[in-house]
Amino acid sequence: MKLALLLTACLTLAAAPPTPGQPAPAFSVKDLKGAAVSLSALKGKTVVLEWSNPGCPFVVRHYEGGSLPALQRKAAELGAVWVTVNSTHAGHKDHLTPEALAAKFAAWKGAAAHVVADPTGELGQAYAAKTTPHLFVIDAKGVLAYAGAVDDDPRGNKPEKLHYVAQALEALKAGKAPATTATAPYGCSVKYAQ
Amino acid sequence: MGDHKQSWKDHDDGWFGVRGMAASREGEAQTTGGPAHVRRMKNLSSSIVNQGDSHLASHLGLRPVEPLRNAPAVIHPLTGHLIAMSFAALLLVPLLIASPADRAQVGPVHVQLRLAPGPSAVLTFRLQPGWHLYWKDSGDSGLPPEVQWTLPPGWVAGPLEHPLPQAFADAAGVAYGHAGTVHLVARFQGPGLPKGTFQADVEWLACKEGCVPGKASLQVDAGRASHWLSRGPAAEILGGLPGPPPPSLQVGPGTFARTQEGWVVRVPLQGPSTALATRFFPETPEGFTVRHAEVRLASGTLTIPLVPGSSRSRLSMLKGVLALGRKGVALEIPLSAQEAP
Repeated sequence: MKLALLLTACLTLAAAPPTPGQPAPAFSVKDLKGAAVSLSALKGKTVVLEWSNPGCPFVVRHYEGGSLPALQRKAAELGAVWVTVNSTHAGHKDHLTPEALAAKFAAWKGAAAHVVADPTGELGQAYAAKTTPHLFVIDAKGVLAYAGAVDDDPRGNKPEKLHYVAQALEALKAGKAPATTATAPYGCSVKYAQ
Repeated sequence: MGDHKQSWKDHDDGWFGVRGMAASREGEAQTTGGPAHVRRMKNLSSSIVNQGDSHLASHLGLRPVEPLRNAPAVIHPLTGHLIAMSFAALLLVPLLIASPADRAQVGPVHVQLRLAPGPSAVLTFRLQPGWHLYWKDSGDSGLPPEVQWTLPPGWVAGPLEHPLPQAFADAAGVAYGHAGTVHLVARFQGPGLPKGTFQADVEWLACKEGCVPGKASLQVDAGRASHWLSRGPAAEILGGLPGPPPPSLQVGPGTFARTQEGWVVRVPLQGPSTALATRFFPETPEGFTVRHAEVRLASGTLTIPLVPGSSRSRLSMLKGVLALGRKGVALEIPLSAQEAP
């Protein structure tokens, strides 16, 4: 009975995706340059996690069109730390070696503070990252402030867009809660090992 | 806090301003993305269309084909390959320049436009094995097909109607879509009988291991019998679309409750047909995110967990399609807040 309860509790914990307003899952990883990146060490700063896969056409559109690099520069200006995460598993056709991944983002003029390869999908599953791109904004206290799409334009053809992540970053900078805290992310599915 | 629109320059030109796009317009095909074999085929096609087959060899970095009368007795394997390719090219040319077309092959997707009684239009997608495209709500990933109509004066088209979708689950979540052959339907309203040209500019996303967006510009002429679906198949396609619940199924009304993880919608199903219900495909309500992987149908109750997008999120109705055997049932379920116990 106790065991069953414990199992249920574990499963619930594993399955429960982080919800805006709750503490963001802790993590401690190394970026492509070997630098340590941990949420606890970043306390006091706004953190953006961006799930990415350079083989996904949605990601290609945002990088070749320049919208994600522009947002990354804007985040840096606002004092936020941007972490790009690639959870594509090693057996997938889109998988890139760390060197190739770094070269890809460099060619795209990516301006993330850190790029992290997560081929086991551990970090991705901790956040229940579903799509590329899928964005999470974590406030200075380590609370999830926004989770979802980068904007309201999955097809990339709206003349005027709602920039959810930019909106969240500006609100946090102004000491306010973001007006929109959750949206449905759009894109390719994250290519986790099955 | 007002709407935050276009606060800085972003050079987003949409799908078709960037690479990684499979495109087909009026019989012409070009792409730089997609699977390698598709890319090779498309590059070959566009070089045939754009440059003619005499330039094919130099385009491929090979030496030009000798005229056949000068051909050596023993044909070099490469030259033989080129000759074969030139013949293949000659065969392809009439297909590629036949424009405007009522159909197109774009990467793993073949799409055809036909008129049908109603009057309506049927877009038939035929996908290569392993590929799928997306339902009107794509679920946790993907993107639904979209069509822009150019119609004769006075004619308007309704939204694209989808048959019952299927769920594609992986470690990232659950997507809703269609594999194999799928017919999407748009119903027209207009003056009298259809006359003239009906044009559909269609965009879609197809995924297998990876994803390839595609588009095609298709035209049909109401005066051409070959551009019409015959009555039997048309009736089967239109009759197979999700319809209202049968008298043997009573749905709702539903309730929603706020929990720590978000909101949970519960909808009771009653009646003899409840036993046939296998899955519910929710349409994401405005201002919410659906936890698609946690949608359940058990003990005659639909459970749909939602995450509100903001403190302004309101809920009064949930739309979706219920799989009842092999038939889809379109539901619009009124919801009310669950009263405190």
